[in-house]
Amino acid sequence: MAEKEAIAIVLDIGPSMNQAPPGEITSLQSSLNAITMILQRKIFAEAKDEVALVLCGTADTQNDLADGDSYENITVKRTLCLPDWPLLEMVQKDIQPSSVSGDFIDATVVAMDHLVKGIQGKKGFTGKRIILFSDLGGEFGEDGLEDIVASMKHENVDFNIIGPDFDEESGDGDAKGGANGHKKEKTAQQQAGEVVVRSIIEAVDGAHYAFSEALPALSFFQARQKRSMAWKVPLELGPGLEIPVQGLIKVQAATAKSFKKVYAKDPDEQITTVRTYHLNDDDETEIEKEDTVQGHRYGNTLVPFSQDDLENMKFKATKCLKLLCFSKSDDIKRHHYMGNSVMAFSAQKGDEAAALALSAIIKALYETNSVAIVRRCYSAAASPKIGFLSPHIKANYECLFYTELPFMEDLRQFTFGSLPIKEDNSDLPNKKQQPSSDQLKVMDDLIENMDLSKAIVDEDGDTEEAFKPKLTFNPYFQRLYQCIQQRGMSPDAPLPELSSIVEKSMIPPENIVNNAKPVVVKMKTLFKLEMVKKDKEEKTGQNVFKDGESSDGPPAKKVKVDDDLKGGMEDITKSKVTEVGTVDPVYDFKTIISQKDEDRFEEACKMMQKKLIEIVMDSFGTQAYSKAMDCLTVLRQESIKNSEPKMFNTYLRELKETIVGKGKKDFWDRIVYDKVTVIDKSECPESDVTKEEADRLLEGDVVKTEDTAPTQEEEADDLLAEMD
Amino acid sequence: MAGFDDLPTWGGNFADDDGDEDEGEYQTQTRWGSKDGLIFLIDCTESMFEKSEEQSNFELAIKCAKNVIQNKIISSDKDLMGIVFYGTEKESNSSDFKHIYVNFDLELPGAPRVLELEAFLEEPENNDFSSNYGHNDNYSLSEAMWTCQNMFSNCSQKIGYKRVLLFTNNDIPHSHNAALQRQAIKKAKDLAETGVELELMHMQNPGQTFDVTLFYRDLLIELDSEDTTVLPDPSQKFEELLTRVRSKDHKKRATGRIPLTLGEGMQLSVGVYNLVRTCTKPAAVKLYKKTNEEVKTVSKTVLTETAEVLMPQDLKVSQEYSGRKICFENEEVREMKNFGATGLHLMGFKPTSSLKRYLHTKPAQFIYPDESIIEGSITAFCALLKKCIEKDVIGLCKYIRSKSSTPVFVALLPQEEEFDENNVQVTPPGFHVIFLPFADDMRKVTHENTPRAKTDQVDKAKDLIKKLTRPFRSEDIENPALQTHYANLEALALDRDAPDSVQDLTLPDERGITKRAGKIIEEFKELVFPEGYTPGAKRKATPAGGAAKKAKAESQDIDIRKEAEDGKLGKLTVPVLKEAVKNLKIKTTGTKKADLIDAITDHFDL
Repeated sequence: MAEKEAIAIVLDIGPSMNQAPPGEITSLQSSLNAITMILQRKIFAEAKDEVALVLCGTADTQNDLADGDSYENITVKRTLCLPDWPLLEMVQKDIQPSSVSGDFIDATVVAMDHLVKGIQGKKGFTGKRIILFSDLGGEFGEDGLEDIVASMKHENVDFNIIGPDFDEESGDGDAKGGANGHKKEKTAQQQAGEVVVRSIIEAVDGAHYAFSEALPALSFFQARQKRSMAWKVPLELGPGLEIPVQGLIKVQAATAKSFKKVYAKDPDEQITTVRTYHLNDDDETEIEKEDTVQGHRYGNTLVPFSQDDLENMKFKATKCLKLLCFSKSDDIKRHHYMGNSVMAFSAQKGDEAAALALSAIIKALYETNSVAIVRRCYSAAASPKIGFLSPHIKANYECLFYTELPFMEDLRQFTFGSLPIKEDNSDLPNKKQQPSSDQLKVMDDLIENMDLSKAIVDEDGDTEEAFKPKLTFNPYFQRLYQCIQQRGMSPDAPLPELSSIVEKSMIPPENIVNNAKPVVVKMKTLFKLEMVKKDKEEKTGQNVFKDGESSDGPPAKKVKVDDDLKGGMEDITKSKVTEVGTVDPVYDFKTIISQKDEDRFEEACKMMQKKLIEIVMDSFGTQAYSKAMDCLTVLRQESIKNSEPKMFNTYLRELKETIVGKGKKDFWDRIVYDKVTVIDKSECPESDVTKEEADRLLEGDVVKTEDTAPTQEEEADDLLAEMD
Repeated sequence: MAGFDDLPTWGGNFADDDGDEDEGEYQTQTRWGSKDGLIFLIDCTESMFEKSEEQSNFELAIKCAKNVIQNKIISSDKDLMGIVFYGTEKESNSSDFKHIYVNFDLELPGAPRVLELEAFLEEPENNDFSSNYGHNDNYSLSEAMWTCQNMFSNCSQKIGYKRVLLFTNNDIPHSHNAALQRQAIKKAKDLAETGVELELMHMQNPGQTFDVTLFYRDLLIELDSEDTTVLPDPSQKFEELLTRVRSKDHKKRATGRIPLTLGEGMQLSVGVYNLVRTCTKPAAVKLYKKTNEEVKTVSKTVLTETAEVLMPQDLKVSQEYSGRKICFENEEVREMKNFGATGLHLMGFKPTSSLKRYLHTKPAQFIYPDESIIEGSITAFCALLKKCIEKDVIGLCKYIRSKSSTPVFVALLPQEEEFDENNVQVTPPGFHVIFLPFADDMRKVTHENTPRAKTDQVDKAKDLIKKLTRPFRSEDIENPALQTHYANLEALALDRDAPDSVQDLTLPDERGITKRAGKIIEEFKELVFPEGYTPGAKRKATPAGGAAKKAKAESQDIDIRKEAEDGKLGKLTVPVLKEAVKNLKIKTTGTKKADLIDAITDHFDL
């Protein structure tokens, strides 16, 4: 079952929460930011967890425990239910600091009471949690603290506090700043609060985070919404030896919810994707889907597969997890790990004999530094995979991790040149690029100074590894949630800036950056790294166009074909081109019109025109548009050179009609963007079009001046999203 | 990030790489101009036909060519292949050079080519080679190479990558003619200059030697390729030769050229490669039933009600959360994914041991220095590599693969160059890029407290492991499902009666296991299993047709609502759940068990 949690967020809004040195944000604001992130995660990851919000320090009182004397100034602002937009909006807009101070211990009790009552009659809750946001600056009563701790334990409530940094117990007080990272002396009240909270945390095994650590802290509020279904199978270690095991996914890349296409003018309008099938003839004759058959390419041979063929040829397998052999761990290369997940296998629930047998295998694998190579077939419909099981032993459990391995077909044998990193590199052609001892020394320093394994120093002076995967969050998800939330609340606002917390999660810890700085400066003097100057090979239509425009300028050097035409071999052996093909139409076109023996300009133009439309129509998204633009600009250029503007002008006007009519308006937009219009008198005296008329052709079609052509992979992404 | 913001040229250079930026299937070669051309240049003098152990070197070369062609047909169906014989009596080439026979011109290989090559392996005597082609030693190696060059330049299609594989067992051609030797060396240089790479596939007969120092080293040294590594030993066996050919038959195509930033202003450039990538069945094409011609598929987005065709600018994208539809422009989605400049950005170093086995989300990539964008990259890269190996550390980097990729963290795992016993490079020097999971990707797996094994049980398991341990190489195991598909395809294409049977190498050798470890298995069972133990409820796979029917019957007897309330949905089978979903007329996001259960629980509002 899905794990679902009942969470009570207790937020202190008392006066001390609203204080901060100039230019810094208040503890209240930090808290609201963190609460927002928690709620975003819950709502946008579509978790089933329910959340209540308890405010501490409200002017009036509204809770079940208040009796006019105790539990004053505490309000259950929102009762336990699924978090939603109104809750987010409330946190964002409605919560104001108060001038009254509330007792955060009382508030915690109210929250606990509310949780216990709140889940009565509701099914499926597996946990309860209280998250207290407070700088502990308010007064509190210590009465009955033991009872509180006892009932927290009894009810199995997790307790977390996000508040000021706790002082280091060693008394080394100047190591870290106060709340929000700025140095602030703690008040006596705060110090007293800290002592109490510390005792609660210790008693119930709770956790504390500073306001500044809010993002890593999220790991504890992370929705465990991904339900892993156990995959049950007997592990066959040989004929007659079967151990019933079950596998659960341990690691697998999480994906964000996919976007759906909607009609911009009315997102609620239904839209559908229609697929039609066409022959590759001049008319693109449409045919019925029923008249098509699946086929596969065998080189240049097309092989149709009938339904029967497909049925007969299906690879048949049965669900299994079977040992092939054992092997030394060293035989398994880290870079050969395949697939997109790691599974953890343990004995099937309740089968002690299986557990014992598996335990023996796990220990034996561990002690012999071996792994088990297995064939795994997920189901009868899936094709078999090869993978390995490796032992994983912890104090409280043992299991086998399963990771896929490559097949022969998945490996690509590329040969790369040897690098001069050996003792003796004298036989290598790149021996001159061997690093000097100074260069090696500075690299050594860099490694020493950027050691992440002890980069995080906590309040107790203990060090911890930075960028632990377990505590590192996907910045895109957080960014996505941030954007969705803002768009949901203010549909017309532009996207928000990337939150600084997320930005900070993608750079090394400050001490590492500082340590590395002098080393990097030194490196820059020792290593000679220079950008290779290259002629920009931009082939946009505009560039080519401009080159053509200046009549005495160099010929269109950007069109690669000119380069290819140089050089002896190619010229001599150049085969005769008679047609404009799709592969390199610019080359073909230029070759035909350069043939001195006969004038085929008109014919070549016609072929080019036809080819261009074909390229545009066949283009997958905007993929072939650059090529089509090259064709168009070369066509235009050559028309000017040959003083034949009319044909081009007529063509361009027709082109607009044709392509826009056939659903390729985006290519016309590209033409407008690149400002490729008809040829006017100033460019070619034979033209009867004025400059103004020429410009007008593009008017009314003004497109945004930024780059409107999405890159190919994004198009592909969209297409994939569409297929979902 | 100020370090590279002031280098505007990055974008242009990096965006314009030749590799495909998708997940890197073998067969994706859709981009214009990325075709490879490969010519087999085969020595056909008499000594190549001397049989040793049933097989002549000529047959080896032909088998290699056939194997590569079959492979190419499958893995990269846009590549062009040609076969040229030299040292033949007859001639056939565009320049009328003597003793050079262009057997196949450079073209897309297909089923007929494979059949023609097979004929060379048949009796009598290689399709009567001596009468059809003949042998003659008075060839010129220079002219043979010239012929290959001509084939590349005459080719009407644009070829991105040109390579000639030279098969010979003669270590000193033109031994009495220094002029011809000089010409050959000069021609080899010529080839290199026109972008044609020449690879020597030298072979030897038993008792023969192939001394590369006599002639070929001089010839190859002129090529000065960036792939220079130790020259492998000459081959005698088909497998050895094939390994060498295979390692050369793909263009190593970088999927990207990106900066590696070690610190502010300290940037080198690297090429990114996929050394492993899941190879899947190539996508099917749609054919017109009547003519078997390829059919084009056009998809349009329309308004359901009016059938009005919508253009990209008429569309937005949206997600829905608790009743609100949140819409974005496509550009905004792109902007959301934009986290700054493409490349690898060093965060720091960790000991290699921190790279735990379970930190894996997708197959690794590989980086190798690239001097074409930043000069000096090799030196800096080498210093980093050498030191990481020495200190046994990994580099931790933030990695943004392309403009539209969101950042991930990766470990740069240093790799030393490795060779096999024949001096063929098996692992290149560089860094593997290991993708690390985020906290979001790691799931909590709860474990029960279970009994632990005792020493005698563990020791017996160790005996079992010892008996059944053997070296493992992924190269030895073919994907049975894929091979079956190809065998079927080939049979249909080549009009064979039945496909070659495919051996499923993923199946264990049960007889062998019993023979070696049968006794230990029994002893182990006695030690760990209680008497009369039969391993759990063994499930026999139910035939697919029956499951649904059974489900129908079952689901009628089950009160889904009650099961859901009791949290027992997990105990039901997928067909039963599917049937329930159908009966309740609810929508699901997927057909996995978890999705179905989610949908049902949602439906009852639990």
